[in-house]
Amino acid sequence: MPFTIDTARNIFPSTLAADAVPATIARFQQLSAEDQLALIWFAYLEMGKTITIAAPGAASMQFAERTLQEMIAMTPLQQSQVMCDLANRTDTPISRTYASWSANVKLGFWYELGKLMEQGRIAPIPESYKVSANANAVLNTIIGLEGGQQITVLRNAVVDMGFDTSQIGNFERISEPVTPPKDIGQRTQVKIEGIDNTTINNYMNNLNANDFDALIELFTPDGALQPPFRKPIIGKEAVLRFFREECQNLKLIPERGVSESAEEGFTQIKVTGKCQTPWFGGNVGMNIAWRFLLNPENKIFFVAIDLLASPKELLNLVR
Amino acid sequence: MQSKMFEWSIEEQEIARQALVQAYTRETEALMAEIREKATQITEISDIWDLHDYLSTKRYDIDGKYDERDLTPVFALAKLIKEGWLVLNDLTGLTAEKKAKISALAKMG
Repeated sequence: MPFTIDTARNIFPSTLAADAVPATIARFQQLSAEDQLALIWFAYLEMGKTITIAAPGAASMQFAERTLQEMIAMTPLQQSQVMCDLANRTDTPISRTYASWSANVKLGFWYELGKLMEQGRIAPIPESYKVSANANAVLNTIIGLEGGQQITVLRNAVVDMGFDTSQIGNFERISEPVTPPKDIGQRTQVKIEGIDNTTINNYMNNLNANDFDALIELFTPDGALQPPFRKPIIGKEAVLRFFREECQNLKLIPERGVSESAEEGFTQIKVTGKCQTPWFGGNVGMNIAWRFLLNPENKIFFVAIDLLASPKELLNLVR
Repeated sequence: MQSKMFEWSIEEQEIARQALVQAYTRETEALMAEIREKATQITEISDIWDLHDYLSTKRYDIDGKYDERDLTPVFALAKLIKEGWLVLNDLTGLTAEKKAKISALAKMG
């Protein structure tokens, strides 16, 4: 297959569909707090019909536990107020606590709230609540998205709630404990069609094994990682923190890739495949493209992770 | 804990800052022209909502991309070159190593 950097540049055109995630989040954030909460609740119920969401581990929930207990002791009106404050990003003690949590603790918190609502221990979204036409339109857009995109929109919606951390100054970040790496004997080895590069294989294998200390050694000191729809995370220290806070128990299933030498001894490698999150397991395979830039020493200087809008986009690479 | 590779001299920081200003002017002017053009082609309501989504995406992209607090602008500059708002010559004065990295990043698909 003739393959050059210039043709590679056109492999992943930025389609309008790929932009649906930030555009939908922007619309979501303009909704009223009540509508945001109702929409998340309805989306959760809607998704629950087709996929089972895995319960968060007890270890990751201990940090949210005190806040949950505090909320259970409140009157239903106060409970609703706390949730609205979170959506409104109001400066309250609970909004500040929430803001200090890692993404997984926040997701776990809402998962528990959902369960407590079902049990009647937390004020539910009233059955009679009628979302605004705005929220309805956003909900319909979300329903029309591909599974991986839906998850990303809903995840970002709750991760962005709480008081704005940039206004807090110094604060202690709270994240779930790091799962120990898997034993060597239990590790799986990926096989990527078209790619035989130890760094790429080790990236996938170490991430799948939660071996973040080995994983980070694959990067250059000034290396960076760009998660979907986010800015690059720069430097080993920051990238390692990202792996520990947001990449535990992921399952990467790379399928195929292409490699091309770039300028100045750099090598560009693109890999496509799927990624399963611990929350949704095998139910939702997000369609992912990894774009690596390796330096002459075969270290990762940059890796961009793209969420593709459809499985069809995965195939664009092998045409 | 900043390693040596993160270091940008005062002169280099100024080159990066000027490049950001230049790219911002180019991109926002181009966007204004593009939106004027797109607006004349609207024939049905769905075209307007598509345009709205496009604007939301652009706003998010532009708001986030031009961050003067960025201490390691290699990645931001590479993105701007890739998108065509800068050329490598706009960065004359940076060390060869930084330019090589920016150039390799900008060529990524």
